[in-house]
Amino acid sequence: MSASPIPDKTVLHRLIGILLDAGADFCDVFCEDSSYNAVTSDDRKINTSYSTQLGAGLRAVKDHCTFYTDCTEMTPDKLEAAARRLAAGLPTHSTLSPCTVVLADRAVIDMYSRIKIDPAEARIELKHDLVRQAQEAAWGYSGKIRQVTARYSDIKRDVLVASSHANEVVRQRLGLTEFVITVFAGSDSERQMGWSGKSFFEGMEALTGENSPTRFAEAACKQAITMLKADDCPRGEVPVVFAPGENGILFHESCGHGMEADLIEKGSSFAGLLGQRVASEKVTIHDNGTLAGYPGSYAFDDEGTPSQDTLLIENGRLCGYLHTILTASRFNVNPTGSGRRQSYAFPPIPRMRNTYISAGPDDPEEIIRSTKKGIYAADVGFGGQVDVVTGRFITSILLGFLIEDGKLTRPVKGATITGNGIQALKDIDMVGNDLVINHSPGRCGKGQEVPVGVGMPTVRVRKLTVGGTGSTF
Amino acid sequence: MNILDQDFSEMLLDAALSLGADAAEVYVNRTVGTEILAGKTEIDSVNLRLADGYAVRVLRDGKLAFGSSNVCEKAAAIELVRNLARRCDLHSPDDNNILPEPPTGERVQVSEPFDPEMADLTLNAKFKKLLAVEQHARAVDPRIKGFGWLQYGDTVQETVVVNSRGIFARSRGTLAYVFAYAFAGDESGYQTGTHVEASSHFDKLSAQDAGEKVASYALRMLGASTASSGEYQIVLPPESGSAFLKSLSEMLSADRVQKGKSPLRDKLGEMIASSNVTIIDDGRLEGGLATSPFDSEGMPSQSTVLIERGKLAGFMYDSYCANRGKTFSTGNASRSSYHSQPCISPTNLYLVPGQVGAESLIRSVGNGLYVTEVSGLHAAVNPTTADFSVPAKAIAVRNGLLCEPIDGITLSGNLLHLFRSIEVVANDLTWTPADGMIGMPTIGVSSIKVTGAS
Repeated sequence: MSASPIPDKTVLHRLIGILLDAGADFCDVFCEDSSYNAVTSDDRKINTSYSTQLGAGLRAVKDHCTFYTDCTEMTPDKLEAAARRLAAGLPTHSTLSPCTVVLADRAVIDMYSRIKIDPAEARIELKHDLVRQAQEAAWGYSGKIRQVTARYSDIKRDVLVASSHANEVVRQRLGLTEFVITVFAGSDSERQMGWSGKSFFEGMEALTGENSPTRFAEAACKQAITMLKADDCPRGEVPVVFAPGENGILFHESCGHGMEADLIEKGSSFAGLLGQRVASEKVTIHDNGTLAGYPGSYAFDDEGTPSQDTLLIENGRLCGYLHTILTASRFNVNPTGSGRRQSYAFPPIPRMRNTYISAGPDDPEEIIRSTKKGIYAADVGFGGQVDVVTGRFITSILLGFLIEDGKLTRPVKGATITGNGIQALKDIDMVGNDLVINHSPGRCGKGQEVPVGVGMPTVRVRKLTVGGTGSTF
Repeated sequence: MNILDQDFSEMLLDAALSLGADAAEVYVNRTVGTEILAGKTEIDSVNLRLADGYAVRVLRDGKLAFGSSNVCEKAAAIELVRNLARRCDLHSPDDNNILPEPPTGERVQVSEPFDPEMADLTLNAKFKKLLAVEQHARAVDPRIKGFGWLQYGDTVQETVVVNSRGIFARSRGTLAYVFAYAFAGDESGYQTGTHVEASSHFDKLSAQDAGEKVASYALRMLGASTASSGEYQIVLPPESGSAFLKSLSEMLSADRVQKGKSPLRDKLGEMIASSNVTIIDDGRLEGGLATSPFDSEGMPSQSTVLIERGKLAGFMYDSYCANRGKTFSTGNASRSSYHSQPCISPTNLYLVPGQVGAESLIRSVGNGLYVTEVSGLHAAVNPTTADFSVPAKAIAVRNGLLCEPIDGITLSGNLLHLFRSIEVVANDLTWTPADGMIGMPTIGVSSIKVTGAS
C-alpha cells in the first residue's frame, strides 16, 4: 500500500518530550507495522487468512513503576493524545522545565535482509501449493491416516524503538516463515496424534529439502503410526534419556523461566544462587538471540538493547539472569537484550530467545548403551508447566521408547515427567556431543506470546518421576 | 471513524458484495482494559489498553476467506476486503461453508454482565483493590511470604456482528479479575497456591475472598510429603475438578467430533458418564460471566444439554458444524480476539450440582485423597484418547476427615473413565474462568491410579 505509517522523528521527539516533562525517569515509544498470512488445510479443505496490525506502545517508567498505553491510530494527534493520557497517570513532579529531545539514529544489521524469498512478496499460490503438497503426502502416507491439519504461516513486522534510555531510535524488520502439521492415525476404536514442523527467521527458501512440508508430513505420520503400536508407559522413578533438539523445551520450561530477572525478584528457585552450583558440571546453558535464522533472534530487543549470547549456566555454575533495562538497573548489571513484547500492546518483560544446553563430552549411543532400564523421550510434545517458586515442573512425553539393557525396545505413550528444575539439572549425568538447536514452531507464553528456539544434545537425567497409565517399572 | 457505527460494517459488506461475494460478514470489537501488576507491596506496572479491530469473512461459491485488521481507515478496510475477494478462488469449495441467517422465532431476553461504572473507575481504586488482596492474604498467616504473580485486570467490551444475510447483533460486557499466585513458607519449605477471582462488577470483586483463598491454598500444603503408589478414592473440589471438566468440554465440540478427533465421536445417545452427571452449556445463564445474547457469529445464545444423567445428549455447534451435521447452531461460536477465526468454545458450561454438602461428601468417602491441585492438565490429556497423567497435590482423607498434605504425586487414567466413576456430586457449584466459564461442584470418584514414592 502507501508509505510506511510509522511516525517520523519529529513526532517521536515530541512524544518522548511529553513523557519526560511529566517526570518519567525514562520512556520509550515502540511502533510496529505487521502483517500475517496463513494457509491451512483441515479436513482436506484449504483456506487462507490474512491480518494486519499497526500500533504504537508508549511507556514511561517512574520510580521503577511502568506506565503503559497503546495507540492504534498512528496520526501525530492521536499519538500525542496517548502520550498525554499516559503522562496524566504519572505521579506529578512540578519542578521540571520542558525538555527538548533529540534522538540519534543507530544503525543496526537488518537480519531480514538475509531473506531470499520474501514471503511478504511471494504469491499466495506458492504457499497454497506447499500446504496442498503436505496434505497430499500425509493422506497418501498410509490408509491409517484419519485426519490432517496443516498450516503454513508467515509474519513480517517492521518495528521501531525510540528511547530516552539510550537517546536513540532503532528500526528493524522481523520475519518468520512457519510450517506445522498435525495428523491423526488410527482405527475406529483408537486414534493417535503425530506432529512435525518448524519456524524460521528466514524466507520461503527455508521450507525446502529436509524442511520441506512433505518431509514434515511424513515425520508426523510416522510418529502417529508409531504411537498406534505404543504401549502405555510404565510409571516410577527411572533414568530418562532425552533425544536432542526440540526436547530442550523441557529445560526452557523447568529452568529457563526461573532465570528471568522479574521472576528472580519474585522469588524464583534460582534467586540468590549466582555463582553457585545449580547443575551438573557437564551442563552449560546459553540463551542466544544472535543465531541467524532462528525464531528467537533479533538485532535488538523491544526496548532497543542489542541482542547477545547470554551465558546462563557454565559448567554447572549459575552465571547470569535475563534482564530488561529496568531489572538490570535494579540488579546493577547491564541489560542482556531480553526485553521482549508480544506486540505494541504490551510492555517489555524479560524473556528467553533461543535457549539450549551446549554439547557435552559423551557419545549419544553410549548414553543409551549404558542405561540398563529407563525411558528414551523421543518427543516431549508441546511444553508443560512450571512452578517458578518451587521449581516443580511437568511435561508430557508424547512419544517415548523403553530402554532395556542398553537398547531401545518398545515404543511407549502417555507418560508425563515431573521433577524439580535444579534437581533435574544436578541429576544430569551424561551430555551428548550432538547438540541440535531447533527452529521451534511453538510460542512461549508468559502473559505474552513470543517465538523462541530451544535445543539440547542427547542428555541423560539419572532419575525422574515418570507417571504413566501402564504398570509400575 | 468509529468502527462500532453501523456505517462502518455496512460499508464493508457493500464492498464485498460489489466485488462478487455471495455473502459477507463483519465482526467488530472494541476492548478498553487495564492490567496492573503488583510487586513487593507496591505497583510494578500499569497497562492502559484500547483496542479497536475488525474481521471480515467473504463467501463466494462455497469458498470462505477470512481477514482481520486494526487499521480502521476506510481505504485500508476496503483494501482488506479486496484482498479477501481475490483470495476466495484459492480456497477449497465446501458446501458446508455458511454465513448464518437470523433464526426465526421469538428472541429470549438476556441480561448481559455489564457494570456501567467500570469504564469510569480511577486507577487508584484498582490499585487499592489489588494491594488489598496481598494484605488480606498476609493477614491470614505470617507464613504467607509473598507473591510470584499478583495481577488485576478489567475489560469493557463492545461487539457488533453484521452479515449480509440479515444478522445484526450488538453485545457488550465487563469483567474485572484478580490473578494471584502466592507462596507460603516455613521450616518444611515452600508451597504455592493459585487463584483467580472474577466478577462482572468491580464492587463485587472481593479482594478479601481472593486473598484469603489463595493464602489458604498455599498454607494447606505446607509440610507436604508424598504418598505411596496405588489405587485411591478421590475427591475433586472445584479448584481441581474444573480442569477435568474443561478438558471434557473440548471433546464435546462438534468440530472435533465431525473431524474424528474426539473420543466421543461415535457415542451420541450412549452412557458415557455416571448417571449423576448432567452437563449443560448455558450462554443465557442469569449472572453468568460468559452470558451474552449472541455468539461471535451473531447467533442467539442457548442452553444446551450436553450430557444428561450420564447419556451423551449433544455437542456444541457453530454454524459451519451445524450445517455439516444438518442441525442448528447452539450459539457456541467464539473468538478470542478480532484476529481469531470463530471456533467452538463453551459459554457457561457446568456440571449440575447435587444435594449433599462438600463436607458430608468427604465424610462419605471415608479414606482417599482430596485433590487440591492438578498442574497443566491441558498438556497432560491426550485429546484423541482421553488418557491423562498429571501431577497433583492433595490432602489425605482418613475416616472422613481431611488430614496431612501430600505433594509429588501423579494421577493417571482416562478422562471418560473418570466421569464414569463419579459416585457423588456435591451442591457447591463454583465457577472458574477458562476460555468461557467452567462451573464445577465437588465430586467423589471411586478409584484412580496414583503414583507417589516408589
